[in-house]
Amino acid sequence: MERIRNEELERIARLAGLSLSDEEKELLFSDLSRIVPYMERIAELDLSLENEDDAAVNSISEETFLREDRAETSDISDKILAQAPLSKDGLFTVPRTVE
Amino acid sequence: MTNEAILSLTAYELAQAIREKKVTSEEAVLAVFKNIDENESDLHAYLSFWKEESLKQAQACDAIVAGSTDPEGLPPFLGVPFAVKDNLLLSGRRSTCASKMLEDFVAPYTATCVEKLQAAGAIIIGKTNMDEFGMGASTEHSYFGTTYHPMDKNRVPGGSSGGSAAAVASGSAFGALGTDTGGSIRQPADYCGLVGLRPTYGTVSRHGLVAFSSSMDVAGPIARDTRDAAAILNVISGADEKDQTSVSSPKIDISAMENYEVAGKRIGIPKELLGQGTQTEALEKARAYFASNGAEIEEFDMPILAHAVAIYYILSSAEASSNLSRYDGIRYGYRDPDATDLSELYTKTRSSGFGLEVKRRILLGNYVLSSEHFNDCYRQAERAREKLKRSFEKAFEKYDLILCPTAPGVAPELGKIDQDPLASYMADLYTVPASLAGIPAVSVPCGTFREGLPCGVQLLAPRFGEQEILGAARFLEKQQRKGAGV
Repeated sequence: MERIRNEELERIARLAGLSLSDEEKELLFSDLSRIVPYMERIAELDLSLENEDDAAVNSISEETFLREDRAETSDISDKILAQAPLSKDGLFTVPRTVE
Repeated sequence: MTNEAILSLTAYELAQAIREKKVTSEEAVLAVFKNIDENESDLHAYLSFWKEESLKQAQACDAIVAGSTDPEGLPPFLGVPFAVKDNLLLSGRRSTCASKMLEDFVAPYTATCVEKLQAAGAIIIGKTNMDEFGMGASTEHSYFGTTYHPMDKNRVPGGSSGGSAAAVASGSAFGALGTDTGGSIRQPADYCGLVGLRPTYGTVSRHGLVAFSSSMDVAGPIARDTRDAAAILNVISGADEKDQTSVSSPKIDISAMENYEVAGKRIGIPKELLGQGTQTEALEKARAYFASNGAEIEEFDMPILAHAVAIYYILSSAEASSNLSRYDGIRYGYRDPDATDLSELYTKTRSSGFGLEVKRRILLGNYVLSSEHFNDCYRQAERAREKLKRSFEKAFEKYDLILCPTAPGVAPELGKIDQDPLASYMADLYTVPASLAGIPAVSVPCGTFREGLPCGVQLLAPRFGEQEILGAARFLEKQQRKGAGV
């Protein structure tokens, strides 16, 4: 099995919104270059299923339900906003995105 | 009643003693906090606890008992001190998931399962330590420091619900809620000599359980015995309109557990889960108890189990990488103070807010979901999961129960698990199959082995088979008490 390439993991780290220190890179890449080939062995499994419907797999196979769509008064928004690292006038504050 | 006598009771027994006015809830809370004062610095089971508030609640419970004319009609856990894992929300309390990312996060509402436990009269006295976001098997991956095994300070209590297990085993709570994605209730219960029940997926609402892997996350009891586990499950289970995947399920008949008929039961042991260490001794002990009481026991092949760990880590990491994308430093939790633009805000916040194991899982999840690997990894794992589910269904056509170890051996020494992440993932072999299949599984103690440490076995049944596994677990518990002359 092909050893996982460092450049590939660097790209994935970028997509995951993570920037890794050199120390972390070394450690995580060495771990993942062992873990990933182990996981990828499942590609060799013969999983021909009995009928085509089985291919439409869903991790939650049981029927789920919908609840009634109704308006309720909630006093929770202040509590939620209070958890934001920065907020102003009932809005989340973020760094400027448009100059 | 002396403190020692109080702390030796199960939650079920304590509730009864409180209703019968043999002991007050206040005395029980005081006994637990004295124990916490004496042991918590060595144990670090809790991330937070609140004595004064708990005492006030206890006094209120005692007043209810004093004014009641129908003690049997009182809520089942009235006045009993419980602990809750820190990834279950409790309104107004910090819910950190043992992560720097949520260090100062105060829950704005209460998880449904915790609310139900409170409605049953339980006093939630604190939140317990865990591996960060539930990712780990030793509680060493907590941003706030490790939890130690209550019987041996050089060992881990297991994880990720290690704090809950340590608290219940040491007398710092009468019962606890944990959460189990790939074994996080069953394995620490096993290491600490307790009963850990992973309920059928959906039986307990996930509303207010901080998401790790949504298709496998469940909350459940870590308890002193099987009766407590059943009674706690009866309280926390039930459909919840706030969790679309929740389902209603039959309640456990606790008195029927006492009369569980072993004779004629067909019990299967998957050959792929036969080990070589201490767990084999525990397994053989359980097998002998069942066999000598008339059960038919058979070993059988279930080849897909050889891939269970790979399937589990692909799917759980994929779901985790998606679930954890919500931690962006904007809406709640940690925000890196040095970020100057939006993309730097995300990256810096996530890079300094998450621990190493969480990063490892996020990377793994992003890898298996990336377009190059999606079919070979993620999609293939989904199909393999379906095959595993069917293999279980087929096995349960033949067997009433499946018996297997919970973990590879007794609790490992500190620092050992972290040395080799792949090896530590492989140790989840025994617990991840039930997680993937969504079926119930219970770990029940089966004696003490090397160096006096406990080791248990695991019992699995089809969906909603909690009555079956708890009955069989109760049988094992009673056999051992007989053996020990209790």
